[in-house]
Amino acid sequence: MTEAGWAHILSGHTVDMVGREHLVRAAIEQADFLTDDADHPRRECHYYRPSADVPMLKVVVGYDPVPPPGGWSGTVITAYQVGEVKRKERQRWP
Amino acid sequence: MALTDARPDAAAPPWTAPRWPTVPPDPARTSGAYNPLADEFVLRFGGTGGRHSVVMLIKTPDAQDINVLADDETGERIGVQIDNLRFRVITEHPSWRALAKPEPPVPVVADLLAEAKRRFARYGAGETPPAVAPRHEAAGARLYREGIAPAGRDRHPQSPVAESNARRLRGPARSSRPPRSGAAMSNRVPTRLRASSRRTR
Repeated sequence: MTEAGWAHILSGHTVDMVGREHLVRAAIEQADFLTDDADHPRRECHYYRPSADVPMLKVVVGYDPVPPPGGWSGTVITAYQVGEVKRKERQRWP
Repeated sequence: MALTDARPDAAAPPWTAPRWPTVPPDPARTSGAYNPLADEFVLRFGGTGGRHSVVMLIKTPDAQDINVLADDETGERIGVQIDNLRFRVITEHPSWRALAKPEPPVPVVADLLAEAKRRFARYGAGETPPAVAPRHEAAGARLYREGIAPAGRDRHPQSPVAESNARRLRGPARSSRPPRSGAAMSNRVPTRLRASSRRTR
């Protein structure tokens, strides 16, 4: 992820997310749970709580098909701290 | 003598119960940023720079597109976030289209603040709904604590990323996609996602 890309993704959440790139990666790789986005069918929301006394980190990832057939590529859409999960998001994992 | 914790709900962090700021935010002293990729607009009140925020959902019966930012130390509301601004919200608030511009007009910001305040006062925002998040969070945390959660591709067997990760792990050549043209895609930053290297067994 480039610095420009990081700044773009976190526009509006810069203060909250500066220095937390590793948490975004952790949320992608080791999410506590995963939901389908409420509105966008090819987006998944990764939720990750580093410890019990801090808010969850939500990382929205969009997926696009890439060659060869059956391949997918993921793009981080946005990331920020949240207190809860949107009602209309559907649980995907666990 | 038995000792008790007299603090009201001492275990709950402040951000779980956001409260309206004692001094109403001045629309002219706010700063906004629009993320076109996420279709997300974030407005922070003046004087709140440097304060970490937590997005707390307003418990509206609709799609929960308009929410509040709560200071993670005090619970004070320090901003507003709109999801799906162009995708959905502007159908109800056409003038808010201007929020996607670099310098949104103050009257539009004032309208947003009024709407957010109205929703906040009517529906509230706060505690995680016990029927959803705690159960999931607890399940995930327990699995990892006990070291029985499958890692990497096995964690999300239905997820597209699992298939992609598996393919990348199997072959030396990474799948690539020709770059798209157009300004709308210029800011997309492909993030290479790979399965976790942490294997539990």
